[in-house]
Amino acid sequence: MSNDFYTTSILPYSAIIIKICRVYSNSQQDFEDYFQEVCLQIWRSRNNFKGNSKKTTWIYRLSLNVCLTLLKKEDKYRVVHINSNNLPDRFIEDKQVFTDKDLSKLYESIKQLSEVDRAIITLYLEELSYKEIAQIIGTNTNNIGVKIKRIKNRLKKILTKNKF
Amino acid sequence: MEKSIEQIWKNGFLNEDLLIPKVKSLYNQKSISIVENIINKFKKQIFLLIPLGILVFIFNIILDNENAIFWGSISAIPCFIWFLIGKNQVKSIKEIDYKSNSYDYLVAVREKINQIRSFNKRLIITCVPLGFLPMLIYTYFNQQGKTIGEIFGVDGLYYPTVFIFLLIPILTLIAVLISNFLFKIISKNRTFDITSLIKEMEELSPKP
Repeated sequence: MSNDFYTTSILPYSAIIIKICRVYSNSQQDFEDYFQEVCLQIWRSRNNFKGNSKKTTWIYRLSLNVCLTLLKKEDKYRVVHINSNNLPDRFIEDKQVFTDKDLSKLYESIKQLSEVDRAIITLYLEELSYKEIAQIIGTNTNNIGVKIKRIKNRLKKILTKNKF
Repeated sequence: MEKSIEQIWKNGFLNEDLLIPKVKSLYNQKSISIVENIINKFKKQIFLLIPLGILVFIFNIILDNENAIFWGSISAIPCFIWFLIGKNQVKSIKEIDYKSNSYDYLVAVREKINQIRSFNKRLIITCVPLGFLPMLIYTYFNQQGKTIGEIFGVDGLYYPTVFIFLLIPILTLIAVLISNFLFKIISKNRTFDITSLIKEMEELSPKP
């Protein structure tokens, strides 16, 4: 992965990737695994982006696909620790990403939603239009408004129940 | 004032520096998963050698030779030896050092698989004729004067007894084809996965 690719294709979209990965991961370690897999997938699919949609839409869709696939595969993997000394070090950052208190609480509540609902509410909070959300999720635009209303109500209930 | 979901989200990200996470082991899970899959398929195929040995034994009895049990047992031995060899081959893949990094681990696994493949091919070419030869020699002397059709109970095969030895190249070829087919099942998308993973790793972090 060249520095150019990292600077142009990962760094500007890192916020999107972080948000999506955080919604689907349960620990810092999971989060890091998801993040790296999304970055890798962006790199692998770099030639597949044809410019038919906005780059951000493509990144959202790709990130969601990777996270959902990993989520399904998770149980199949056996965790074995291997030292990896030959990995690119440009990603390495020791600070933790799970920091902000309110935001962490919100994330905890979002994680209690279904996989699809998590994606919808994340994209909604990212201020994407209903059309864009529908495009990414692969559903009808008309359903999105109703769904968001329901998800928000459910989220509020979870937040109240957990006294967040 | 109570914060709305939207406010928490927006403020949270306004206040928070988005940090690129620490990457620990890029390919570990994937590498282990692929290798485990190969080992599992390999194990299943090795256990198929036991029924194959029994089939060879039964085939000998069908030929209706004298001392068929004895010759059947002799002919089935290569299958059981191969079973033991296969078990050792699986063990040798498992023994590849997990403590080395993923790249070296995958390269070592790929190399081992290729070694096993070429060893097995040589083993088939040697063992199949060796396994069938005693049985066929015995059949040749025991069934002297009969045609192939009479030996196998098939009408229309009026070839002399000596033609029974044609079974050796035919069976060897069949065994090689079966072995190639089984190997393709084991490695279908898997060795390709290993190769593509290795390639990606090299592109991501070129080896000196």
